[in-house]
Amino acid sequence: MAEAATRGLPPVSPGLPLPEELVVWEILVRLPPKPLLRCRLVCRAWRRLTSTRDFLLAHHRHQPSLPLIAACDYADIMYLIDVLTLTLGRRRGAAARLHPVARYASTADYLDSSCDGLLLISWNTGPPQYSICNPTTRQFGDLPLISGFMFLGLYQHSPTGDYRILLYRAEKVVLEDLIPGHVERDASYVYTLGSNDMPRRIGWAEPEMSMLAGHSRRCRPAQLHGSLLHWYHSIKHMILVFDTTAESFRWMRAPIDKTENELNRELWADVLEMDSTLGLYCCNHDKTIVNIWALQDYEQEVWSIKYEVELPVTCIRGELDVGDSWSVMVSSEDGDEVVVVLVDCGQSVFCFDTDGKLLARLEHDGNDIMVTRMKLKQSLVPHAFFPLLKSYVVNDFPFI
Amino acid sequence: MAAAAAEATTDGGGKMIILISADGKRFEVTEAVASQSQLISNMIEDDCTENGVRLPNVDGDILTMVVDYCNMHAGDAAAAGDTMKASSTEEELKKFDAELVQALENPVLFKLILAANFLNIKSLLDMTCQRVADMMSGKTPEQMRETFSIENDFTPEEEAAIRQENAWAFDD
Repeated sequence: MAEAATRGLPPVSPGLPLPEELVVWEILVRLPPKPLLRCRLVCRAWRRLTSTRDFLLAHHRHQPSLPLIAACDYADIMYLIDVLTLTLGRRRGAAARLHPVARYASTADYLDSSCDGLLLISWNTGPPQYSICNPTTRQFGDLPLISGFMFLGLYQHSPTGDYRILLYRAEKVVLEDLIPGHVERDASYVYTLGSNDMPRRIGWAEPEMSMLAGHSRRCRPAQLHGSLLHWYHSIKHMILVFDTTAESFRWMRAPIDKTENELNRELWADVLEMDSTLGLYCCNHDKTIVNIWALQDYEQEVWSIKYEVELPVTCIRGELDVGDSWSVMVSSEDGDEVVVVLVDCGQSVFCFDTDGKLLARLEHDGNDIMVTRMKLKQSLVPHAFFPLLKSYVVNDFPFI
Repeated sequence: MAAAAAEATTDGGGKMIILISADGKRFEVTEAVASQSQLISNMIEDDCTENGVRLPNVDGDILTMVVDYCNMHAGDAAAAGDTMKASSTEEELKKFDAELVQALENPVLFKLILAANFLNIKSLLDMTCQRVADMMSGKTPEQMRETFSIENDFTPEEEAAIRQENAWAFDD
C-alpha cells in the first residue's frame, strides 16, 4: 500500500503548477479550436506539443458534435453563408447560443455533408459542382472530377484512412436497344479525396436512391454509424444502409408505421445520431407530435420508442408570423443524452426539450437560417489531400 | 462513526476504509465510495487497506472535497436501476459538480486536479480539467501565461509569425 501511495507525481516543470502531461493531454486538449490556436503563442513547448498529429486527433475527439446551422445573407450576386453550431449549454448552466465557425461566399446555399470537421459544399442549382472545406482551419478546395455526379455521402474509409465520397449518376443501360423504354439507370461511384482518378464505379445503385433527395434534388445527409452510412427513405419508410468497407447497399427496417403516411405526403422524419446508437424521429403531419426511437439491437433491427414529444404548436404559431411554414428536426447534444427538437422557421430556431418545453429561440443577425440535419465536430487535424485539390486556398476567398 | 459504519455495512456498501491525508486528517468511507478511485480500488483488490490508506500527496482540505465528491457520486450505480430516481439524482449531481468547481480559485483547483490524477478518479479529473479549459477559452496568450506561470520564450519576430499563421484566431 505504502508503495502505491507514495509512488509520487510526475515532475512538475519549473513555474508550471501542474505536470506538463496533464496540462497538454487533459486541459489544452479540451480547448475549443480558437483558444487552442491562441495557446500556441504562450511558449515554445506548448506550440510544439499542440501541433502534433496525435494531439490534434485527441483534440478532435474531445470536441463536441454540435447541430450545424447555416445562416444566409445576400451580397451582390453571392450568398454569404455563416457556418454556425448550436450549443444548449444545459450541462454547464450556460444559455443556448449559436457559435459562428466561419463565413464563406457561394453561388448556392447547399451544405451537403459534414464528416470529421469537413464540409462538402455544392455550388450550382443545375448540374452540381463540389468543394470540400474545413471551416475550422479555413482550408478550401474544389472537386472538379465529381462535377455532374449526384452526391450521397462523405466518409472516412477505415481500412485506408482515406476520405471518400459516395456518388451516383444516371447511366445508359448497355442493352438499351433490346429493352425499349428502359433507358437509364443509376450507377454508384466512389471518389477518394485528393485523387486524380475519376470516380470508381462500384455497381448499379438501388433504384430508390434518387428518391432520397425528395423534392429538393439534394440528397438528405447520411448518418454515419460505425463504418455504415444510413439514409431514411421517406417513401419506402425504410433505411438504406451503405457499408463503406464492403461497398454494398442493403435495406433496414424503420419503426414508422406506413399506414400513418398518407399518399405522397412526406413526413418530417430522418435518422439521427443518439447516445452512440442510431436514432430515428418522425413528426406527424399536424406537426404536433414527434416520436423518437433508438435502435436497440442493430443486428436484429429492434427499435424502441424513447420519447414522444408534444410540440406546443399554439405557442410556436403565436411567436411567429409565418403560419405553418416551419419544419421540425431532432438533434442530440453530444455526450449528454439530451435530445432536442429544433423548429426551423426561416429566421429563427426554436429549441425544445423532450418534454416539449421551449429552451431557447435563436436568431442570427436577422439572416435566413437553415437548420441542417448535420452535426459539426470541429477539427484542426491536417489532411494530406487538401494541398492536392484544385484551387486550394487557406484562409482566403471564398472564406471571408 | 461506528454507527455510520454499521449502517453502511447493512446498506450493502461493504467494509469501511480509512483515508489519511498528508496532514494526518482521517476520513472513514465505504469501499464503494473509495473504489471510485482506481488507485484505491486496486489496493482493495490487493487487500492492503487494512491499516488505512496514507495519501501523502493530498492535503486534508483537498481530500475533504474528494471525499464529498465520491460520497455524492457513489449513488450513481445504485440509482441506475430506477429511471425516475436516476434522472432526479442526475440533476442533483450536475448541480453539486458545478458548485464544487465553480467557486474554486486556481491554486485549489490545480491541487484538486493533481489529487484526481493521483487517485485516478477519471470523472473528477475530466470535470476539473474541463473547468480550467473553460476558464482559459476567453483568455489572451498573456493571460494564459499568467495562469500557468509560464515565461514567454518567443522572440517578437516568432510571435508575429505565429499570429500571422492563424490571424483569425486572434481577432477577438
